[in-house]
Amino acid sequence: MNNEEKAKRHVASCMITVVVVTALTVAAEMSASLKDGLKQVFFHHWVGKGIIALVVFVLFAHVIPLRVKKPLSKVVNWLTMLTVACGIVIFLFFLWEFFA
Amino acid sequence: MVNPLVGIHAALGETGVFAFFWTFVEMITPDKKRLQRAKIAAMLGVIFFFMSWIIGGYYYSTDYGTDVKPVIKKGPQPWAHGVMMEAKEHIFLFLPFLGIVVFSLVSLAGERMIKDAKLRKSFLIVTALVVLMGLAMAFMGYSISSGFRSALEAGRT
Repeated sequence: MNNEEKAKRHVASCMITVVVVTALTVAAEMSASLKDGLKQVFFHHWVGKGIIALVVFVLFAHVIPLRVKKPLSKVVNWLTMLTVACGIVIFLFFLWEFFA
Repeated sequence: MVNPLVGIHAALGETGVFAFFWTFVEMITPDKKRLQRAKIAAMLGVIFFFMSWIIGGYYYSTDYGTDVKPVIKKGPQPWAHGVMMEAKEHIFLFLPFLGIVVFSLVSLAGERMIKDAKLRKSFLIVTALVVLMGLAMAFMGYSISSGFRSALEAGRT
């Protein structure tokens, strides 16, 4: 695997990690049993999310063979847009949850 | 007294932000020398973000929930926890991985970025995002501290 392929894999892994963190954050707030489960397994739900994020990133960056065919610049742009979108989703979710 | 871990967490995080800003500046018009410096800066940024994560995470999971969160929730700015802290602690989880990506890009595709303006532009945008998100973390941290302080002041009067 050449350097560009490796870089693309890291970018794609980061995209998956960002989506997993966002989904897990919203899901754990909606489901008390999921939040409690994370607490029981990892001592604190946030610690659990961090460890899961780390595992997901390492898994997709180094273990699972991801193949990304699009150009590197495009994949990086997608990561930027996805990160902004997921950040907004998390912020708006907690804003909604607080005022609801 | 404010827990010193809060200050250490913030200082490490902001040093990481400065390191990524340094990376950004080096890569605006890169050459071989600047690329070398950008790699060092990005590596430092990743190290500082991970240290900030560990220190902040330790404080958050041991002291914050018992000593700070209940005080903020009863004070005049409960949104400081309900919105700011909740959003900060989760959005922060993106940053160490984005930092790794910036380091990976500068290390694995840095040579290409010297000539490929399109790739360099994408790289600069994602690095700027890391810097801006880091600054947003600092602002949110300030809001949380203000929420705690206002709750303490309200309790005193």
